Amino acid sequence: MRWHMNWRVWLPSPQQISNAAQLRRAAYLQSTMQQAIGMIVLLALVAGLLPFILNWFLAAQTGTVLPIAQAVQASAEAQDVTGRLGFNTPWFFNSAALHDLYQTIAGMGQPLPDWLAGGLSALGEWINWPLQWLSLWIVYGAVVMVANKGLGGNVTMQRFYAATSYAAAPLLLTGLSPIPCLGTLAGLVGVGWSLVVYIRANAEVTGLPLPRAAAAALLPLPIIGLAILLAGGLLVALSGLIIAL
Amino acid sequence: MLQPKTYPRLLGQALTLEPAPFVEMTDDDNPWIEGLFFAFVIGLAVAVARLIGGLLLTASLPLPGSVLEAIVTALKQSLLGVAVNPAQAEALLRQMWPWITTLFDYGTGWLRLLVLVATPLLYIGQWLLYGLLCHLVARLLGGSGSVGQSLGVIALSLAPRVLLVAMVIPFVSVSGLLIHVWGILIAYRGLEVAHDLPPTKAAGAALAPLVLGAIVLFAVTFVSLTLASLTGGGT
Repeated sequence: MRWHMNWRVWLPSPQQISNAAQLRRAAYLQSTMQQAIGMIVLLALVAGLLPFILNWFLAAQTGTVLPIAQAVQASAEAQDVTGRLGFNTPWFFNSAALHDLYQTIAGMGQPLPDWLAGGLSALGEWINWPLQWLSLWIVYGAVVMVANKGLGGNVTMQRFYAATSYAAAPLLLTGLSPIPCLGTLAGLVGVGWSLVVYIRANAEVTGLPLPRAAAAALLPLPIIGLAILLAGGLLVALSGLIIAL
Repeated sequence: MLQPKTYPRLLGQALTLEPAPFVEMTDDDNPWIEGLFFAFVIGLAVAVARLIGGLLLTASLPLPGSVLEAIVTALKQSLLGVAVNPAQAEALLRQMWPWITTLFDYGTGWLRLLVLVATPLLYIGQWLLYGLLCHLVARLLGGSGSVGQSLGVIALSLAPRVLLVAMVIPFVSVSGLLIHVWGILIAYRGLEVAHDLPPTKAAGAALAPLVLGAIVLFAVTFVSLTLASLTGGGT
């Protein structure tokens, strides 16, 4: 294996990505895990480009960092909704007080110029795109590998991860999320398409029949949901116990 | 023999789960020293990134003291007419504030320089503990590698932590789940090579320390809570 900066070592060809997105079986068997990592990082950065630019504008306009700018916006919307509906919100969700707090913090100013502080925070959020995609690919993939094994599939980890990385290609559509209405629709299509590519890739590399490959790919969803519920329940029980003591 | 110039290649190959870096580590004349240095270098790189990221974060946000006062004011307003003592809530927040700011590397104190020492030491400690436990379980399962070889290959499981270097940019967050799951996959491959174990046993050896850790954590929490309840919570 060559370890140099040639892009071909780090990326599959655009034709290969296109073939995989179109569910052509040969594409799933021709790439390496190294190319998979490169592709996921690149696609996630491309998908996150439009949100990055818009986020930078939002933060610079508010004169603060992105999370505070988003909090100001979200709390204003929440205040508007609760005001219109006439809800009595609980004390820990006093939207008016929260809005005031975020606005006060946003107005405080910071050592860096507004555009730079906003830009840095938007850049951080942008870098989070590939990190989140890598998390999904590795962590979800590890559970699917176990399910594959249980259902009789046989594949090496490298081949499995290389093939399933192509599920990132349709996720490019999630980058359109800031566009009203169309963005949500594109996001939903992207996620659904990605799941189909994932199942197809899983079937190709494990040699499992399609229904079994689909079951292995979908099985982690309820397991992860259950684990989150269990962890949440334990945490609540533990904090309740600590407070009681 | 220490060969830091090969670390970027070893790191990349470990991340892609190739057997080559594990074979190289196993065949090294002093794999545990190589592992120790590897853990130290990654720890130092992450520490420097966190230090710079923390400085940039602090420069991107208002002064922590002003933010605290704003939160206290908001808290007092929110708690009006609620059966919670505002003075107690304020005292608790003020008490916890230094911990919160330190956790997020947000603050201007010299304390942040501690990260330069603490991070490499923490990584070395984690590597040693995890490596030794993995070795023990691998040997119990019939593995044939030496302690040095186990420590050498387990050091490579720290490779995903190189992603934490991205924290040089403020507001970047790297999932702990990603770092640990990827690390376990690398450890599994390493133990498979170093101990010549079949996949199931190698997976067992890589996972056993975590299961053990979870059991110990659960037991300690349970025992301390029971003791606290028996003694009236220390009051």
